[in-house]
Amino acid sequence: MRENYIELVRKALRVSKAAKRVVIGDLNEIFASALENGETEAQVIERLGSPEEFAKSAAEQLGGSGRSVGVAARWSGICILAAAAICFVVYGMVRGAGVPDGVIGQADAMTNIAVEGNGQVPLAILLLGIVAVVAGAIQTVRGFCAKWRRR
Amino acid sequence: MENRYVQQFKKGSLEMILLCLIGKKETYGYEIITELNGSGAAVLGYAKEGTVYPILYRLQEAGLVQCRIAPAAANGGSKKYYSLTEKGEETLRELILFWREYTVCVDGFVEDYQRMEEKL
Repeated sequence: MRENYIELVRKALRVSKAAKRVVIGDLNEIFASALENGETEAQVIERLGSPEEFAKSAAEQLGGSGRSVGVAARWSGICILAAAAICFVVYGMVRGAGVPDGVIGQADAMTNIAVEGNGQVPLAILLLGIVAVVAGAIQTVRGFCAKWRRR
Repeated sequence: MENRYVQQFKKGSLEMILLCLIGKKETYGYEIITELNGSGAAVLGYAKEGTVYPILYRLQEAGLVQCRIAPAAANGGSKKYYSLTEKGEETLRELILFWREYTVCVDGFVEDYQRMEEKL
């Protein structure tokens, strides 16, 4: 009964490994002290509440906010990948809206027209998209690794 | 009278009560809960580990409480003994000072209201 409860709390805890060790150690102490004072395991469990509730309130105070680090990493990874997709779409639209390379005013011969302006913007958007893809992929992989490690 | 206002009062004061209990003497979780239930249960409600331990974690994270682990002779395991840090002692002194002023202030409003009520 006690082992089962502690195991459920361990699974539900969304904190670092060190913090998890602290909480599990405290739970063992709670049971031991209560039994020492004549209480039964069932009485202790009734007082502790559900394993999920206990884990959640402990995690909130230990900087875990009740949510897994892995979940946060996965979501941030997905958001970054979405931002990357937006960058590529914008890049594609900017490129598509322009005239072909080397054409100025649709002249078919050399002109003296000097072109001014920021021709680097589309390239910057493309680079930003590539960086976002890499960062998003790293975050997403980190998120899934954290999930697999917990199992 | 378990409305949410009462719950808020209890929640707000429990940290200070725990600091008082730990400040009185080095103590461990079960002893804190036993003492809370022995002298405060009628007003504060029945203390549970699920309420007390998260507060202990918060106090520890804030550097107000420190702990040491000592072997427990009775059960062969270990016990975590809590004591106040210097910062914890200082914070408790400030809280007690505030609490004195706070209760006088609130009592003033309550008494004013009760006097008015008696006149009606």
